[in-house]
Amino acid sequence: MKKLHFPGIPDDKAAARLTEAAPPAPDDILRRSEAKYQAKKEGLAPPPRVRSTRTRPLRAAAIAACAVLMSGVAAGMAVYLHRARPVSTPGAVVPAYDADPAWAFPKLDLASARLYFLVDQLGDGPAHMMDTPVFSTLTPEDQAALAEILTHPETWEDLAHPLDPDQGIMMGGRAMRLYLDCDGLRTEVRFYSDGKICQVYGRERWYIPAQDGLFEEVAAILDNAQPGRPMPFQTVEAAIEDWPELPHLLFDVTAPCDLADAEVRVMTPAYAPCVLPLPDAQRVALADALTAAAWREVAYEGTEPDGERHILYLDTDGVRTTLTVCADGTAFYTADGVGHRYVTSADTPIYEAVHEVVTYPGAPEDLLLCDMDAPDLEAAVWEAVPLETETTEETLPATE
Amino acid sequence: MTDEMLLTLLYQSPEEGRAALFRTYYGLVYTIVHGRLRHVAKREDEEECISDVFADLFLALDETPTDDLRRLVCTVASRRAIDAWRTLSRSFGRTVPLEDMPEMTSGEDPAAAAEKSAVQSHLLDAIAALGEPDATIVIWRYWYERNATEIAAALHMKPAAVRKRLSRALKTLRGMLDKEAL
Repeated sequence: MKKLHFPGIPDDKAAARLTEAAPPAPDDILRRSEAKYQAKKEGLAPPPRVRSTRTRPLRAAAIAACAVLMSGVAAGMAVYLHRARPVSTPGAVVPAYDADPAWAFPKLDLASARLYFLVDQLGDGPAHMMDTPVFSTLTPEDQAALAEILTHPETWEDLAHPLDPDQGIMMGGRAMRLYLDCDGLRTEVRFYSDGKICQVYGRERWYIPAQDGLFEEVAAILDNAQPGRPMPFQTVEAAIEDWPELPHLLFDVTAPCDLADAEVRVMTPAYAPCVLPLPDAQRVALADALTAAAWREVAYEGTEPDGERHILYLDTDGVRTTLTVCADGTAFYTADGVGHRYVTSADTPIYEAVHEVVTYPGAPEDLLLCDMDAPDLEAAVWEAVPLETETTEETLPATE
Repeated sequence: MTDEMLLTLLYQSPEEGRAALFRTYYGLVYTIVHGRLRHVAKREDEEECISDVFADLFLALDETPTDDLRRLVCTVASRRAIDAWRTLSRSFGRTVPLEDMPEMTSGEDPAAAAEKSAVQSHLLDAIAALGEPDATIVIWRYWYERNATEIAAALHMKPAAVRKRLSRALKTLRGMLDKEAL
Protein backbone atom coordinates (compact mmCIF):
# COMPACT_ATOMS: atom_id res chain seq x y z
CA MET A 1 0.00 0.00 0.00
CA LYS A 2 1.36 3.41 -0.90
CA LYS A 3 2.37 5.37 2.15
CA LEU A 4 0.62 8.71 2.56
CA HIS A 5 2.88 11.68 2.09
CA PHE A 6 2.31 14.51 4.54
CA PRO A 7 3.75 17.73 3.20
CA GLY A 8 6.16 19.26 5.63
CA ILE A 9 6.15 16.29 7.94
CA PRO A 10 9.10 13.99 7.78
CA ASP A 11 7.54 10.62 8.57
CA ASP A 12 4.97 8.93 10.78
CA LYS A 13 7.31 8.71 13.73
CA ALA A 14 8.28 12.35 13.53
CA ALA A 15 4.67 13.35 12.94
CA ALA A 16 3.70 11.47 16.06
CA ARG A 17 6.36 13.30 18.08
CA LEU A 18 5.32 16.69 16.78
CA THR A 19 1.66 15.86 17.27
CA GLU A 20 2.31 14.91 20.89
CA ALA A 21 3.96 18.27 21.46
CA ALA A 22 1.32 20.29 19.61
CA PRO A 23 -0.26 23.19 21.51
CA PRO A 24 -3.61 22.44 23.14
CA ALA A 25 -6.81 22.57 21.07
CA PRO A 26 -8.55 25.95 21.37
CA ASP A 27 -12.33 25.83 21.76
CA ASP A 28 -12.92 28.73 19.40
CA ILE A 29 -11.60 26.69 16.47
CA LEU A 30 -14.00 23.90 17.37
CA ARG A 31 -16.85 26.42 17.42
CA ARG A 32 -15.79 27.77 14.04
CA SER A 33 -15.55 24.25 12.60
CA GLU A 34 -19.04 23.50 13.92
CA ALA A 35 -20.43 26.69 12.40
CA LYS A 36 -18.89 25.92 9.01
CA TYR A 37 -20.08 22.35 9.16
CA GLN A 38 -23.65 23.39 9.99
CA ALA A 39 -23.62 26.01 7.23
CA LYS A 40 -22.41 23.50 4.64
CA LYS A 41 -24.85 20.89 5.81
CA GLU A 42 -27.81 23.23 5.56
CA GLY A 43 -26.61 24.86 2.36
CA LEU A 44 -26.20 28.27 3.98
CA ALA A 45 -23.51 30.84 3.40
CA PRO A 46 -20.36 30.04 5.35
CA PRO A 47 -19.58 32.20 8.37
CA PRO A 48 -17.17 35.07 7.69
CA ARG A 49 -13.55 34.07 7.66
CA VAL A 50 -11.17 35.44 10.22
CA ARG A 51 -9.31 38.13 8.44
CA SER A 52 -5.59 37.84 8.28
CA THR A 53 -3.98 41.23 8.48
CA ARG A 54 -2.14 40.69 5.25
CA THR A 55 -3.74 42.74 2.52
CA ARG A 56 -5.23 40.60 -0.18
CA PRO A 57 -5.75 42.08 -3.64
CA LEU A 58 -9.49 41.54 -4.00
CA ARG A 59 -10.25 42.54 -0.47
CA ALA A 60 -8.00 45.56 -0.80
CA ALA A 61 -9.86 46.59 -3.96
CA ALA A 62 -13.21 46.22 -2.20
CA ILE A 63 -11.98 48.19 0.78
CA ALA A 64 -10.56 50.88 -1.48
CA ALA A 65 -13.94 51.22 -3.23
CA CYS A 66 -15.68 51.59 0.12
CA ALA A 67 -13.00 54.01 1.18
CA VAL A 68 -13.92 56.43 -1.60
CA LEU A 69 -17.47 56.53 -0.28
CA MET A 70 -16.49 56.74 3.35
CA SER A 71 -13.54 59.09 3.25
CA GLY A 72 -15.66 62.22 2.78
CA VAL A 73 -17.73 61.34 5.83
CA ALA A 74 -14.64 60.49 7.86
CA ALA A 75 -12.79 63.65 6.91
CA GLY A 76 -15.84 65.77 7.70
CA MET A 77 -16.16 64.20 11.08
CA ALA A 78 -12.47 64.72 11.78
CA VAL A 79 -12.70 68.40 10.97
CA TYR A 80 -15.83 68.68 13.10
CA LEU A 81 -14.35 66.97 16.07
CA HIS A 82 -11.05 68.76 15.49
CA ARG A 83 -9.26 66.11 17.34
CA ALA A 84 -8.96 62.40 17.22
CA ARG A 85 -10.64 59.91 19.41
CA PRO A 86 -8.19 58.19 21.68
CA VAL A 87 -7.45 54.81 20.16
CA SER A 88 -6.19 52.37 22.68
CA THR A 89 -3.59 49.71 22.46
CA PRO A 90 -4.39 47.31 25.30
CA GLY A 91 -2.73 48.46 28.47
CA ALA A 92 -1.63 51.79 27.08
CA VAL A 93 -3.07 55.23 27.64
CA VAL A 94 -3.23 57.05 24.33
CA PRO A 95 -3.21 60.83 24.48
CA ALA A 96 -5.96 62.65 22.63
CA TYR A 97 -4.78 64.77 19.75
CA ASP A 98 -5.36 68.46 20.04
CA ALA A 99 -5.60 71.29 17.57
CA ASP A 100 -1.91 72.10 17.69
CA PRO A 101 -0.46 71.75 14.20
CA ALA A 102 2.53 70.12 15.84
CA TRP A 103 0.19 67.43 17.01
CA ALA A 104 2.29 64.53 15.82
CA PHE A 105 3.91 62.95 18.85
CA PRO A 106 2.20 65.64 20.96
CA LYS A 107 2.85 64.01 24.28
CA LEU A 108 5.50 61.52 23.33
CA ASP A 109 9.03 62.09 24.46
CA LEU A 110 10.53 60.66 21.33
CA ALA A 111 14.09 61.37 22.40
CA SER A 112 13.79 58.96 25.30
CA ALA A 113 11.49 56.44 23.60
CA ARG A 114 12.55 52.96 22.74
CA LEU A 115 12.65 53.11 19.00
CA TYR A 116 13.04 50.43 16.36
CA PHE A 117 12.55 50.85 12.71
CA LEU A 118 12.13 48.78 9.62
CA VAL A 119 12.75 49.90 6.06
CA ASP A 120 10.37 48.36 3.58
CA GLN A 121 10.93 48.26 -0.11
CA LEU A 122 7.54 48.11 -1.74
CA GLY A 123 6.57 47.78 -5.36
CA ASP A 124 9.68 48.24 -7.42
CA GLY A 125 12.08 47.08 -4.73
CA PRO A 126 13.78 43.71 -4.74
CA ALA A 127 11.50 41.01 -3.43
CA HIS A 128 14.02 39.63 -0.98
CA MET A 129 13.78 42.75 1.10
CA MET A 130 10.18 41.86 1.79
CA ASP A 131 11.12 38.30 2.62
CA THR A 132 13.86 39.11 5.07
CA PRO A 133 13.39 42.62 6.39
CA VAL A 134 15.70 43.96 9.03
CA PHE A 135 14.78 45.89 12.12
CA SER A 136 17.38 48.49 12.94
CA THR A 137 18.11 50.81 15.81
CA LEU A 138 19.48 54.33 16.06
CA THR A 139 22.23 55.80 18.17
CA PRO A 140 20.95 58.14 20.92
CA GLU A 141 22.33 61.12 18.99
CA ASP A 142 20.50 60.20 15.80
CA GLN A 143 17.33 59.47 17.75
CA ALA A 144 17.53 62.91 19.33
CA ALA A 145 17.99 64.47 15.89
CA LEU A 146 14.97 62.56 14.60
CA ALA A 147 12.93 63.67 17.60
CA GLU A 148 13.83 67.27 16.90
CA ILE A 149 12.64 67.04 13.31
CA LEU A 150 9.43 65.22 14.11
CA THR A 151 8.43 67.46 16.97
CA HIS A 152 9.28 70.72 15.25
CA PRO A 153 6.07 72.76 14.81
CA GLU A 154 6.87 73.63 11.21
CA THR A 155 7.21 70.02 10.22
CA TRP A 156 3.48 69.50 10.15
CA GLU A 157 1.26 71.50 7.86
CA ASP A 158 -2.19 70.62 9.05
CA LEU A 159 -4.27 68.60 11.43
CA ALA A 160 -4.33 64.88 11.26
CA HIS A 161 -7.30 63.02 9.95
CA PRO A 162 -8.25 59.36 9.91
CA LEU A 163 -6.80 57.27 7.15
CA ASP A 164 -8.54 54.41 5.48
CA PRO A 165 -6.96 51.06 6.35
CA ASP A 166 -5.41 50.67 2.90
CA GLN A 167 -5.04 54.26 1.85
CA GLY A 168 -1.48 54.65 3.05
CA ILE A 169 -0.04 51.66 1.27
CA MET A 170 2.07 52.57 -1.73
CA MET A 171 2.63 50.31 -4.66
CA GLY A 172 6.05 51.72 -5.49
CA GLY A 173 8.92 53.56 -3.92
CA ARG A 174 10.31 53.35 -0.47
CA ALA A 175 8.58 53.14 2.85
CA MET A 176 9.94 53.29 6.36
CA ARG A 177 8.26 52.16 9.53
CA LEU A 178 9.21 53.39 12.97
CA TYR A 179 8.08 51.58 16.07
CA LEU A 180 8.01 53.69 19.21
CA ASP A 181 7.51 52.73 22.79
CA CYS A 182 7.17 55.73 25.10
CA ASP A 183 6.52 54.54 28.62
CA GLY A 184 4.19 51.81 27.43
CA LEU A 185 2.44 53.91 24.78
CA ARG A 186 3.20 52.19 21.53
CA THR A 187 2.73 53.65 18.11
CA GLU A 188 3.92 52.95 14.63
CA VAL A 189 4.79 55.72 12.19
CA ARG A 190 5.01 55.03 8.47
CA PHE A 191 6.78 57.34 6.07
CA TYR A 192 6.17 56.88 2.38
CA SER A 193 8.40 58.37 -0.26
CA ASP A 194 5.40 59.98 -1.97
CA GLY A 195 5.10 62.22 1.08
CA LYS A 196 2.37 60.30 2.91
CA ILE A 197 2.87 59.74 6.58
CA CYS A 198 0.62 57.88 8.87
CA GLN A 199 0.67 57.09 12.53
CA VAL A 200 -0.86 53.83 13.68
CA TYR A 201 -2.54 53.10 16.97
CA GLY A 202 -3.53 49.46 17.05
CA ARG A 203 -5.63 48.99 13.91
CA GLU A 204 -6.41 52.64 13.33
CA ARG A 205 -4.31 54.95 11.22
CA TRP A 206 -4.08 58.70 11.09
CA TYR A 207 -2.79 60.66 8.17
CA ILE A 208 -0.28 63.38 8.92
CA PRO A 209 0.17 66.06 6.25
CA ALA A 210 3.83 66.98 6.38
CA GLN A 211 6.10 69.42 4.64
CA ASP A 212 7.86 68.43 1.46
CA GLY A 213 11.23 66.86 2.00
CA LEU A 214 10.46 65.31 5.36
CA PHE A 215 10.94 61.82 3.99
CA GLU A 216 14.43 62.66 2.76
CA GLU A 217 15.35 64.27 6.09
CA VAL A 218 14.19 61.24 8.02
CA ALA A 219 15.79 58.84 5.55
CA ALA A 220 19.13 60.62 5.92
CA ILE A 221 19.07 59.95 9.65
CA LEU A 222 17.83 56.40 9.37
CA ASP A 223 20.56 55.57 6.87
CA ASN A 224 23.02 55.78 9.77
CA ALA A 225 21.21 53.14 11.77
CA GLN A 226 22.67 49.88 12.91
CA PRO A 227 20.95 47.04 11.10
CA GLY A 228 19.70 44.18 13.21
CA ARG A 229 19.40 40.63 12.08
CA PRO A 230 17.11 39.71 9.20
CA MET A 231 13.96 37.84 10.09
CA PRO A 232 11.22 36.16 8.06
CA PHE A 233 8.51 38.49 6.88
CA GLN A 234 5.83 36.46 8.65
CA THR A 235 7.68 37.00 11.91
CA VAL A 236 7.73 40.72 11.29
CA GLU A 237 4.04 40.70 10.44
CA ALA A 238 3.32 38.83 13.64
CA ALA A 239 5.45 41.31 15.55
CA ILE A 240 3.55 44.20 14.07
CA GLU A 241 0.25 42.64 15.06
CA ASP A 242 1.48 41.51 18.43
CA TRP A 243 3.29 44.72 19.12
CA PRO A 244 4.21 44.04 22.74
CA GLU A 245 6.29 41.12 21.52
CA LEU A 246 8.46 43.22 19.27
CA PRO A 247 11.19 43.91 21.81
CA HIS A 248 11.41 40.20 22.53
CA LEU A 249 11.77 39.44 18.87
CA LEU A 250 14.52 41.92 18.51
CA PHE A 251 16.39 40.50 21.43
CA ASP A 252 16.08 36.80 20.89
CA VAL A 253 19.71 35.84 20.63
CA THR A 254 21.33 33.79 23.34
CA ALA A 255 24.39 35.07 25.17
CA PRO A 256 27.51 35.04 23.00
CA CYS A 257 29.45 32.95 25.51
CA ASP A 258 28.80 30.53 28.31
CA LEU A 259 30.72 30.86 31.54
CA ALA A 260 29.65 27.44 32.80
CA ASP A 261 32.84 25.66 31.76
CA ALA A 262 35.20 28.61 31.68
CA GLU A 263 37.83 30.00 33.99
CA VAL A 264 37.03 33.67 34.37
CA ARG A 265 39.07 36.74 35.23
CA VAL A 266 37.31 40.05 35.62
CA MET A 267 38.43 43.62 35.39
CA THR A 268 35.77 46.02 36.59
CA PRO A 269 35.77 49.79 37.19
CA ALA A 270 35.33 49.10 40.91
CA TYR A 271 38.66 47.30 41.18
CA ALA A 272 40.69 48.47 38.14
CA PRO A 273 43.58 48.20 37.51
CA CYS A 274 43.37 44.97 39.50
CA VAL A 275 42.11 41.76 38.04
CA LEU A 276 39.93 39.34 39.97
CA PRO A 277 39.58 35.60 39.69
CA LEU A 278 35.92 34.63 39.83
CA PRO A 279 34.94 32.08 42.48
CA ASP A 280 32.52 29.32 41.43
CA ALA A 281 29.48 30.85 43.12
CA GLN A 282 30.01 34.19 41.39
CA ARG A 283 30.79 32.49 38.09
CA VAL A 284 27.49 30.56 38.23
CA ALA A 285 25.57 33.71 39.17
CA LEU A 286 27.23 35.61 36.35
CA ALA A 287 26.52 32.79 33.88
CA ASP A 288 22.86 32.91 34.90
CA ALA A 289 22.77 36.70 34.47
CA LEU A 290 24.27 36.45 30.98
CA THR A 291 21.90 33.65 29.97
CA ALA A 292 18.84 35.45 31.29
CA ALA A 293 19.70 38.64 29.43
CA ALA A 294 18.26 39.30 25.98
CA TRP A 295 20.94 39.85 23.33
CA ARG A 296 20.97 41.02 19.78
CA GLU A 297 23.96 41.00 17.50
CA VAL A 298 24.51 44.19 15.51
CA ALA A 299 27.13 45.32 13.05
CA TYR A 300 30.62 45.74 14.52
CA GLU A 301 32.83 48.39 13.02
CA GLY A 302 35.89 47.82 15.19
CA THR A 303 35.38 50.65 17.65
CA GLU A 304 34.01 50.54 21.15
CA PRO A 305 32.24 53.36 22.99
CA ASP A 306 33.98 55.39 25.67
CA GLY A 307 32.97 55.01 29.27
CA GLU A 308 33.04 52.44 32.01
CA ARG A 309 33.02 48.74 31.24
CA HIS A 310 33.48 45.32 32.73
CA ILE A 311 35.88 43.04 30.93
CA LEU A 312 35.51 39.30 31.37
CA TYR A 313 38.49 37.20 30.30
CA LEU A 314 37.44 33.61 29.63
CA ASP A 315 39.50 30.48 29.23
CA THR A 316 37.51 27.45 28.07
CA ASP A 317 39.81 24.46 27.69
CA GLY A 318 42.64 26.68 26.55
CA VAL A 319 40.53 28.80 24.21
CA ARG A 320 40.72 32.38 25.40
CA THR A 321 38.05 34.94 24.60
CA THR A 322 36.91 38.24 26.07
CA LEU A 323 33.52 39.75 26.73
CA THR A 324 33.37 43.49 27.32
CA VAL A 325 30.15 44.77 28.86
CA CYS A 326 29.71 48.52 28.51
CA ALA A 327 27.61 50.78 30.68
CA ASP A 328 25.37 51.75 27.73
CA GLY A 329 24.14 48.16 27.36
CA THR A 330 26.36 47.21 24.45
CA ALA A 331 28.73 44.27 24.68
CA PHE A 332 31.68 43.15 22.62
CA TYR A 333 32.74 39.54 22.34
CA THR A 334 36.09 38.71 20.83
CA ALA A 335 37.15 35.19 19.87
CA ASP A 336 40.06 34.25 17.60
CA GLY A 337 40.68 37.93 16.97
CA VAL A 338 37.18 38.40 15.53
CA GLY A 339 34.96 40.95 17.26
CA HIS A 340 31.20 40.78 17.59
CA ARG A 341 29.01 43.58 18.87
CA TYR A 342 25.78 43.05 20.78
CA VAL A 343 23.13 45.22 22.29
CA THR A 344 21.18 43.99 25.28
CA SER A 345 17.61 44.69 26.20
CA ALA A 346 16.97 47.45 28.70
CA ASP A 347 14.73 44.95 30.50
CA THR A 348 17.79 42.96 31.47
CA PRO A 349 20.49 45.49 32.38
CA ILE A 350 23.54 43.32 32.03
CA TYR A 351 26.09 45.96 33.08
CA GLU A 352 24.37 46.36 36.44
CA ALA A 353 24.03 42.59 36.77
CA VAL A 354 27.79 42.10 36.36
CA HIS A 355 28.43 44.96 38.78
CA GLU A 356 26.26 43.30 41.43
CA VAL A 357 27.74 39.86 41.00
CA VAL A 358 31.43 40.70 40.88
CA THR A 359 32.70 41.47 44.35
CA TYR A 360 35.98 40.83 46.05
CA PRO A 361 35.58 39.41 49.51
CA GLY A 362 39.26 39.72 50.50
CA ALA A 363 41.28 42.66 51.69
CA PRO A 364 41.93 45.36 49.06
CA GLU A 365 45.70 45.01 49.47
CA ASP A 366 45.43 41.38 48.35
CA LEU A 367 44.10 42.35 44.94
CA LEU A 368 46.38 41.39 42.08
CA LEU A 369 47.60 44.25 39.98
CA CYS A 370 47.67 43.90 36.26
CA ASP A 371 50.19 45.65 34.04
CA MET A 372 47.82 47.95 32.19
CA ASP A 373 50.63 49.17 29.92
CA ALA A 374 51.50 45.69 28.70
CA PRO A 375 51.37 45.41 24.91
CA ASP A 376 49.10 42.37 25.22
CA LEU A 377 46.66 43.20 28.00
CA GLU A 378 44.90 39.83 27.76
CA ALA A 379 48.17 37.96 28.31
CA ALA A 380 49.00 40.30 31.18
CA VAL A 381 45.68 39.47 32.85
CA TRP A 382 46.28 35.74 32.70
CA GLU A 383 49.81 36.32 33.89
CA ALA A 384 48.55 38.27 36.89
CA VAL A 385 46.11 35.51 37.88
CA PRO A 386 47.16 32.32 36.10
CA LEU A 387 44.95 29.32 35.61
CA GLU A 388 44.75 26.91 38.53
CA THR A 389 46.31 24.14 36.45
CA GLU A 390 49.24 26.38 35.52
CA THR A 391 49.75 27.24 39.16
CA THR A 392 49.72 23.55 40.10
CA GLU A 393 52.23 22.67 37.41
CA GLU A 394 54.56 25.39 38.56
CA THR A 395 54.43 24.28 42.16
CA LEU A 396 55.02 20.57 41.44
CA PRO A 397 58.83 20.71 41.04
CA ALA A 398 59.12 22.69 44.23
CA THR A 399 57.16 19.98 46.09
CA GLU A 400 59.44 17.28 44.73
CA MET B 1 -9.79 7.90 22.78
CA THR B 2 -9.54 5.20 20.10
CA ASP B 3 -10.98 5.50 16.61
CA GLU B 4 -13.54 2.84 17.44
CA MET B 5 -14.75 4.78 20.49
CA LEU B 6 -14.86 7.98 18.48
CA LEU B 7 -16.92 6.39 15.74
CA THR B 8 -19.32 4.94 18.28
CA LEU B 9 -19.68 8.30 19.97
CA LEU B 10 -20.19 10.02 16.62
CA TYR B 11 -23.01 7.59 15.90
CA GLN B 12 -24.67 7.82 19.32
CA SER B 13 -24.16 11.51 20.03
CA PRO B 14 -22.91 13.36 16.94
CA GLU B 15 -22.21 16.68 18.65
CA GLU B 16 -20.17 15.14 21.45
CA GLY B 17 -18.51 12.88 18.91
CA ARG B 18 -17.42 15.83 16.79
CA ALA B 19 -15.99 17.59 19.84
CA ALA B 20 -14.13 14.42 20.83
CA LEU B 21 -12.83 13.98 17.29
CA PHE B 22 -11.61 17.58 17.34
CA ARG B 23 -9.79 17.15 20.65
CA THR B 24 -8.29 13.82 19.63
CA TYR B 25 -7.04 14.86 16.21
CA TYR B 26 -6.39 18.57 16.66
CA GLY B 27 -2.68 17.96 17.29
CA LEU B 28 -2.23 15.90 14.14
CA VAL B 29 -4.20 18.33 11.99
CA TYR B 30 -2.30 21.28 13.43
CA THR B 31 1.00 19.55 12.78
CA ILE B 32 0.11 18.86 9.15
CA VAL B 33 -1.35 22.31 8.48
CA HIS B 34 1.48 24.13 10.21
CA GLY B 35 4.06 21.99 8.41
CA ARG B 36 2.62 23.07 5.10
CA LEU B 37 1.78 26.71 5.83
CA ARG B 38 4.44 27.79 8.27
CA HIS B 39 6.34 29.86 5.69
CA VAL B 40 3.37 31.61 4.11
CA ALA B 41 0.63 31.90 6.68
CA LYS B 42 -0.09 33.76 9.83
CA ARG B 43 -1.60 32.14 12.89
CA GLU B 44 -5.14 33.23 11.89
CA ASP B 45 -4.71 31.67 8.45
CA GLU B 46 -3.60 28.40 9.97
CA GLU B 47 -6.49 28.38 12.41
CA GLU B 48 -8.91 29.15 9.60
CA CYS B 49 -7.50 26.24 7.63
CA ILE B 50 -7.77 23.93 10.65
CA SER B 51 -11.42 24.85 11.13
CA ASP B 52 -11.99 24.13 7.42
CA VAL B 53 -10.37 20.73 7.85
CA PHE B 54 -12.63 19.78 10.72
CA ALA B 55 -15.73 21.11 8.97
CA ASP B 56 -14.83 18.92 5.98
CA LEU B 57 -14.18 15.97 8.26
CA PHE B 58 -17.51 16.33 10.05
CA LEU B 59 -19.27 16.47 6.71
CA ALA B 60 -17.31 13.55 5.29
CA LEU B 61 -18.13 11.41 8.30
CA ASP B 62 -21.81 12.21 7.89
CA GLU B 63 -21.76 11.17 4.26
CA THR B 64 -19.24 8.34 4.13
CA PRO B 65 -18.52 6.48 7.33
CA THR B 66 -15.00 5.12 7.53
CA ASP B 67 -13.16 2.78 9.83
CA ASP B 68 -9.79 4.45 9.27
CA LEU B 69 -10.22 7.84 10.87
CA ARG B 70 -6.52 8.67 11.02
CA ARG B 71 -6.03 8.22 7.31
CA LEU B 72 -9.10 10.31 6.55
CA VAL B 73 -7.89 13.07 8.87
CA CYS B 74 -4.43 13.09 7.29
CA THR B 75 -5.78 13.17 3.76
CA VAL B 76 -8.29 15.94 4.37
CA ALA B 77 -5.79 17.98 6.36
CA SER B 78 -3.02 17.75 3.80
CA ARG B 79 -5.37 18.56 0.90
CA ARG B 80 -6.87 21.53 2.69
CA ALA B 81 -3.41 22.74 3.71
CA ILE B 82 -2.17 22.56 0.14
CA ASP B 83 -5.22 24.51 -1.05
CA ALA B 84 -4.63 27.14 1.59
CA TRP B 85 -0.95 27.26 0.73
CA ARG B 86 -1.78 27.89 -2.93
CA THR B 87 -4.24 30.64 -2.07
CA LEU B 88 -1.94 32.36 0.39
CA SER B 89 1.09 32.11 -1.86
CA ARG B 90 -0.90 33.66 -4.68
CA SER B 91 -2.30 36.47 -2.56
CA PHE B 92 1.15 37.06 -1.12
CA GLY B 93 2.32 37.94 -4.62
CA ARG B 94 4.71 35.09 -5.01
CA THR B 95 5.26 32.84 -7.94
CA VAL B 96 5.22 29.24 -6.86
CA PRO B 97 7.95 27.17 -8.47
CA LEU B 98 6.71 23.85 -9.78
CA GLU B 99 9.24 21.91 -7.79
CA ASP B 100 7.85 23.42 -4.58
CA MET B 101 4.45 21.90 -5.22
CA PRO B 102 4.47 18.74 -3.18
CA GLU B 103 1.73 17.01 -5.10
CA MET B 104 3.46 17.67 -8.40
CA THR B 105 6.79 16.09 -7.51
CA SER B 106 7.16 12.42 -8.15
CA GLY B 107 8.07 11.66 -4.56
CA GLU B 108 10.21 8.87 -5.93
CA ASP B 109 13.61 9.87 -4.64
CA PRO B 110 13.97 7.19 -1.98
CA ALA B 111 17.60 7.98 -1.11
CA ALA B 112 17.06 11.68 -0.45
CA ALA B 113 13.74 11.08 1.28
CA ALA B 114 15.23 8.39 3.50
CA GLU B 115 18.21 10.56 4.42
CA LYS B 116 16.05 13.57 5.23
CA SER B 117 13.66 11.44 7.19
CA ALA B 118 16.51 9.82 9.12
CA VAL B 119 18.08 13.16 10.00
CA GLN B 120 14.76 14.62 11.13
CA SER B 121 13.86 11.55 13.14
CA HIS B 122 17.29 11.59 14.71
CA LEU B 123 16.94 15.25 15.62
CA LEU B 124 13.52 14.63 17.16
CA ASP B 125 14.96 11.69 19.12
CA ALA B 126 17.68 13.98 20.44
CA ILE B 127 15.12 16.64 21.35
CA ALA B 128 13.02 14.04 23.18
CA ALA B 129 16.13 12.98 25.08
CA LEU B 130 16.36 16.49 26.52
CA GLY B 131 13.41 15.58 28.73
CA GLU B 132 10.52 17.80 29.73
CA PRO B 133 9.86 20.66 29.66
CA ASP B 134 12.91 21.37 27.48
CA ALA B 135 11.76 19.15 24.61
CA THR B 136 8.40 20.90 24.48
CA ILE B 137 10.06 24.32 24.70
CA VAL B 138 12.39 23.55 21.78
CA ILE B 139 9.59 22.15 19.60
CA TRP B 140 7.21 24.98 20.41
CA ARG B 141 9.88 27.58 19.72
CA TYR B 142 11.39 26.21 16.53
CA TRP B 143 8.65 24.08 14.98
CA TYR B 144 5.48 25.79 16.14
CA GLU B 145 7.18 29.22 16.21
CA ARG B 146 5.76 30.32 19.54
CA ASN B 147 7.64 33.07 21.34
CA ALA B 148 9.00 32.87 24.86
CA THR B 149 6.01 34.71 26.32
CA GLU B 150 3.49 32.30 24.80
CA ILE B 151 5.49 29.26 25.83
CA ALA B 152 5.90 30.66 29.33
CA ALA B 153 2.16 31.23 29.66
CA ALA B 154 1.35 27.69 28.54
CA LEU B 155 3.95 26.07 30.77
CA HIS B 156 3.35 28.36 33.75
CA MET B 157 6.90 29.68 33.67
CA LYS B 158 8.51 33.09 33.35
CA PRO B 159 9.64 34.18 29.86
CA ALA B 160 13.18 34.66 31.14
CA ALA B 161 13.17 31.10 32.48
CA VAL B 162 11.96 29.82 29.11
CA ARG B 163 14.73 31.67 27.33
CA LYS B 164 17.28 30.36 29.77
CA ARG B 165 16.04 26.78 29.42
CA LEU B 166 16.00 27.15 25.65
CA SER B 167 19.54 28.38 25.60
CA ARG B 168 20.75 25.51 27.76
CA ALA B 169 18.69 22.97 25.83
CA LEU B 170 20.25 24.09 22.56
CA LYS B 171 23.69 23.81 24.04
CA THR B 172 22.94 20.33 25.33
CA LEU B 173 21.43 19.36 21.99
CA ARG B 174 24.47 20.63 20.14
CA GLY B 175 26.71 18.63 22.46
CA MET B 176 24.66 15.47 21.99
CA LEU B 177 24.68 15.76 18.21
CA ASP B 178 28.38 16.62 18.09
CA LYS B 179 29.18 13.60 20.23
CA GLU B 180 27.14 11.33 17.98
CA ALA B 181 28.71 12.82 14.87
CA LEU B 182 32.14 11.92 16.23
